[in-house]
Amino acid sequence: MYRGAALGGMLARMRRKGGHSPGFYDAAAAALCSALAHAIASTSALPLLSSLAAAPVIAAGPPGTIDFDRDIRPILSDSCFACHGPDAGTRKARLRLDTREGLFGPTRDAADENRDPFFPSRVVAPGDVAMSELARRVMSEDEDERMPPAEWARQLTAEELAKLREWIDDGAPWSGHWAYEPVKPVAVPDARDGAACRNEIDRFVLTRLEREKDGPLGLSEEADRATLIRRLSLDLTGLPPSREEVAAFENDSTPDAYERAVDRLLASARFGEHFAGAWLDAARYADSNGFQIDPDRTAWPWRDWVIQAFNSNMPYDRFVFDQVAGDLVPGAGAAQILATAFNRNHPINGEGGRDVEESRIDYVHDRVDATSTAFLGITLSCAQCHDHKYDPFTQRDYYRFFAFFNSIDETGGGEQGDMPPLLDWKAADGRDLKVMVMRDRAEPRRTHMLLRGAWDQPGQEVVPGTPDAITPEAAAASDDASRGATAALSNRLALAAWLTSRDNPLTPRVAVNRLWQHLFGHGLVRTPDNFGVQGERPTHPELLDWLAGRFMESGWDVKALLKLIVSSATYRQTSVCSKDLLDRDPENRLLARSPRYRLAAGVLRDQALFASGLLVETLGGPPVKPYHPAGVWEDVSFGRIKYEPGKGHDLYRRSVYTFWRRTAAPVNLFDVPQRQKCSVRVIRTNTPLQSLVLLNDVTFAEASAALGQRAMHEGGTDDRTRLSWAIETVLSRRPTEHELDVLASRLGRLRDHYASHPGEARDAACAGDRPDPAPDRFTDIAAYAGVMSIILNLDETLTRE
Amino acid sequence: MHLFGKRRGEFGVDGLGQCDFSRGEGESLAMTRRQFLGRSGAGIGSAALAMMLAGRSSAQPAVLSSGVNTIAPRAKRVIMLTQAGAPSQIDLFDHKPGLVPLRGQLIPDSVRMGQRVTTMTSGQAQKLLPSQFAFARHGQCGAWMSELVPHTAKIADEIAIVKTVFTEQINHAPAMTFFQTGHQIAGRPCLGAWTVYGLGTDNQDLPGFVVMVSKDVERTCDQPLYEHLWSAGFLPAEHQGVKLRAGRDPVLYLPNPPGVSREVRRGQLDDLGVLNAAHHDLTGDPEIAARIAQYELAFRMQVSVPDLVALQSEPDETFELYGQAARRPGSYGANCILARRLAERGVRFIQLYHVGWDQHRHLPEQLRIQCEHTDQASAALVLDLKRRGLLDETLVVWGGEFGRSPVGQGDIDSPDHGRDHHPRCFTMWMAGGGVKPGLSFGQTDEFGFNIAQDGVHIHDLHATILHLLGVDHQRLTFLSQGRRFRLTDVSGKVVRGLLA
Repeated sequence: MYRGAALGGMLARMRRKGGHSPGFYDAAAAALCSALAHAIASTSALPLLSSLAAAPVIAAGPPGTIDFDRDIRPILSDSCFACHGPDAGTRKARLRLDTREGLFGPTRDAADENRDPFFPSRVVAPGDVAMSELARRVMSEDEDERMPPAEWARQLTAEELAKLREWIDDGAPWSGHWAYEPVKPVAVPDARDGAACRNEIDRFVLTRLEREKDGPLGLSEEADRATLIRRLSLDLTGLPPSREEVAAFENDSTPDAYERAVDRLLASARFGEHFAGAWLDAARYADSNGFQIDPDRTAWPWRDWVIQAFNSNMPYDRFVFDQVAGDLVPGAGAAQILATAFNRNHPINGEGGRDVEESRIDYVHDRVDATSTAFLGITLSCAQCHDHKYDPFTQRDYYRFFAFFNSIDETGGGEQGDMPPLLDWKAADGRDLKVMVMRDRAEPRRTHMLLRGAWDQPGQEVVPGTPDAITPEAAAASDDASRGATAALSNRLALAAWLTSRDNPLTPRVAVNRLWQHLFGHGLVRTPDNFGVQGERPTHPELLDWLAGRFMESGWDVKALLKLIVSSATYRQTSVCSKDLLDRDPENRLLARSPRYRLAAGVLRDQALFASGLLVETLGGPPVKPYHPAGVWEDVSFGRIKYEPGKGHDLYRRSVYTFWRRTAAPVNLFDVPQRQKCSVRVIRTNTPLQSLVLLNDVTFAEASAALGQRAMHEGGTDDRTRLSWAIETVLSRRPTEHELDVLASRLGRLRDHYASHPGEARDAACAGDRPDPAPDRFTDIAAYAGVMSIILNLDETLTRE
Repeated sequence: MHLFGKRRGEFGVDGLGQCDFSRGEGESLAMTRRQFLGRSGAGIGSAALAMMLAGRSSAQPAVLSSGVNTIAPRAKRVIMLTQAGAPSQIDLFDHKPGLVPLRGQLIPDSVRMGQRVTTMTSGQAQKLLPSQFAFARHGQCGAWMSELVPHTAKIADEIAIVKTVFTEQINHAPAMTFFQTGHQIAGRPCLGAWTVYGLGTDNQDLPGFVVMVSKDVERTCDQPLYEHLWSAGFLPAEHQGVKLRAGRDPVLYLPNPPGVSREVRRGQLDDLGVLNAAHHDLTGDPEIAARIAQYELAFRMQVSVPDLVALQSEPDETFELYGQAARRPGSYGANCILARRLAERGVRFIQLYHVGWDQHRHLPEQLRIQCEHTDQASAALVLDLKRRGLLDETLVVWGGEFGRSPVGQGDIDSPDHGRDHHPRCFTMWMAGGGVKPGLSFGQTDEFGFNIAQDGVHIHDLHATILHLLGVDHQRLTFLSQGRRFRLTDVSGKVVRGLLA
């Protein structure tokens, strides 16, 4: 299929979809149509849709049989591709095993008249191990013949050899790498225990559990209502539920109570603040440029755009489209242009004496990396200097992708914080700001492959284009004969259309996976930044594809997808886990229980501020500087940049608004990526350093004191009632008698201690910048603060149960 | 059987009777212990937690995972001096006078054998570039070293120089990841984590695996170092490296907030431990056990770390030995002194990273700077360990993730030339801990381009380090995702020729 036709089809579908930003896609389509009138005018969306409907329905493959993509390609990739894979530069013996043609093709000497006819003439002869050169070489007794060579690190195991043999015996069925195959309709399987299922998701998960080799497993029981409402609130808004919300949910026995809770949380403005966080990591958002000088920049209007996009439930395809090419849409509004700041979030090196062209090229490389990782989950950057070692991306693919970003109207030079092109942006408070955005030059730059990736070593010229291995049917038509035509639309508008095309196999899978990761701690693909051959396979491939299809059919409706997932019985399971289940599935890949994992550092901070009543909920605006240890910025900048903590409300805003210095990411937010480059992986470590933050950071000391004051003020009149109130406020559940005993005993001892240590009492009670309490209450507040610190550090408090 | 040697969630009770619950500090750990043991019905989890809380006495022999204590250990601990970015072995250790007459000539294809170079040198002719630095023989062993490492030259008889280390990786991130974990894709446990997983640690007041990173003020290039390089991968999380910051506060948030005394904190942690243990019994999540251990370790670090980093207590003579630059916190020299102090305190695995060795350009100037900032302190560390009687039981390893090419990069007649990456052979040195001193191991060809004899793959290096620690690299395994993983994957052989 001609590439333009796919684009036209996609745009036609967008037009028809309705409900989403009317007019916008008409404008985008018009832009494309004018560039490609002959190609698009005759194309309708119908063939695409019908071909989708007519495509064979994939059934979940029967367990126990060899599946090429699942069982064989990983072996070849791990042990063979480095010399017989995509990289032409290191390919040995002109043999490649990463393509169908290479794997089933003739051996190098097949055409040689003098060759011994008893030796195989094909690399793999389906059904015939004896006549398969691959089998002969990997099984050879002769050290000189055997592959991989003896000195190669990745030797084949006996099990792997057996699999290879079985696969050839079975006729050597071949399939492409799953992630590059189109998203096809998937039949929802019938789980035996249908009653345990709430929606389709559960049928996929349960079917998988039921066919466990060591005996079928089932879903765990549903978590109790208190756990559910806390889980939902934390997952969807990043804040725990209020006491009133917990009580209302627990007392609501109507059948749709859960659904209404989900709807309420999805409609909250907190939702966007929470979901924006992960996207800021992916987009390497920061409030400064990085490198040695690290001047501040004004990027936060874009951050607010992201929050608003989530809150308004912007369809994901438009979310992608606008960030990649919003500026190129005819009649683009300021917000659409602002969206393109995504590709200006990269570090900027303003070092004097640096070649400005080298810097500019660096920024283009970074855009390739961020775009290919965040939207496509591929490691295209590996092909910057040479063909990819494992995935079917050539160095030429890389530079064709690079070309999309190579015509920005930028110089690469200068030391200022904000570098043109800039957008004039009026902030909510009326201030005029300038924000770095994308704008192409009138005359596109010519793009050359850069030999070994070196900026000053141009090689062959290339035109913009997308990797042939993705949506190959489109690529096939875009070869040299039609290149003249594609060149006309080879700008970011075309890239955005390709990324959001229904034919793109990666965009929906990657998006669904990231949203799943957000709710379950891990994606269905546990390498969210690598859907390639060396990445992990999905734990539930059919479910991933079903969700991806469903996501597109819904008009890329993010909130609908989240609602679907959190409504499943899979999501609603308890996280309590038997020892047997833990032994059988320590990493919870099968999802026979709800995951439990430590909340992100920013959520922990926000939660403490929320519970203590200190949180200031203002939506958006310039970044703020909460408490931060002295000297961190000074150390990295050799004293040049000083950290001045904010005053008043600035100390109590949600963590998403914390000023992000690129050379010194906020140290109170442990496990965050540094935002030097795109990052979509969740880092979740468990170190003593985290304990020190949560016990000793002023934020938490102050929150402990304020929470204690609240408990004394709102929690009743006697200690046990107040402690009970505090547990309920933080954990959304009632305490056990044991817990009350332990905490009440501690409270009494602390009260005695502080009564005899008035100086300590004053310090503990007056922690932070909030107004000091009355001196006659110091002892009590200090004692309560000591106990509240325990509650705020409970594993259960730190954990999404 | 020991809890560290088992799968997550499978904490054993054996050995509990041997546990030493005594503590020098805190009011009520004994109470905690009673509470744990008193709740007998609560299962083995609590008992293991009590054990973790108490820490293992250093007097206890560590009987850990399989593969440990099957070999007589020669080293108790490891100090890795990781020179990130790839030092130019051809300018420091691998003396190739035969290159001098060939200067500027193209490297023969028969030598290059299709070796790729990386980012910057493809467009240019591959011209041989001998080192411009003067080499001489040093020590009784007569090891060749260049003028750039005069201090290392003085310890020539203490170290084994391995000239034939090789790797398959040619770019920094995958190569460093391979160097750390035996695999080029991030996610597996690193050598330090494997070591602490296998052997535990002798000091319960400091992390068993400590990481420090330094970089120079005058650096020209930074290869970023990612936290995953010292991660525990799929091993229990408490085995990951703990990084001491390179700033004025090695550990941020170390002091209690105002108004919270050590006594108050001890009480808080006692309750936290009790309540978390109850939650552990309820949920069955082994991560909670690790969290309790981390909170307790944090408490002990509040005393042990200030003591550790109090370099002002070092006599002037120390700074004469390591160099005056070591007075600057966060410098490589300061970190080397800290490494010695960590070794004295029984920390199992100490890893320093010094970034900035990636001399694609300006090599003559930048390599000299790089050596000036590291050479004296590296050598001083070996001497210091030796005079304190620690070198025999401490294995010191110096080296980067790969080496640099004998072919020049850029205009070799201009001072801004450099060298590209070279994975086929590069030099590391090792000292102490059962390594044969005064040894030059392995030979490269006359161009310094290929291995001529006795190649040492990174897997072999790992196997050898584990062997010296008394660990069989083929038997130190961990089951993850249905596969028994080990650091050396499916290969690696102990390099017998290096053993004393």
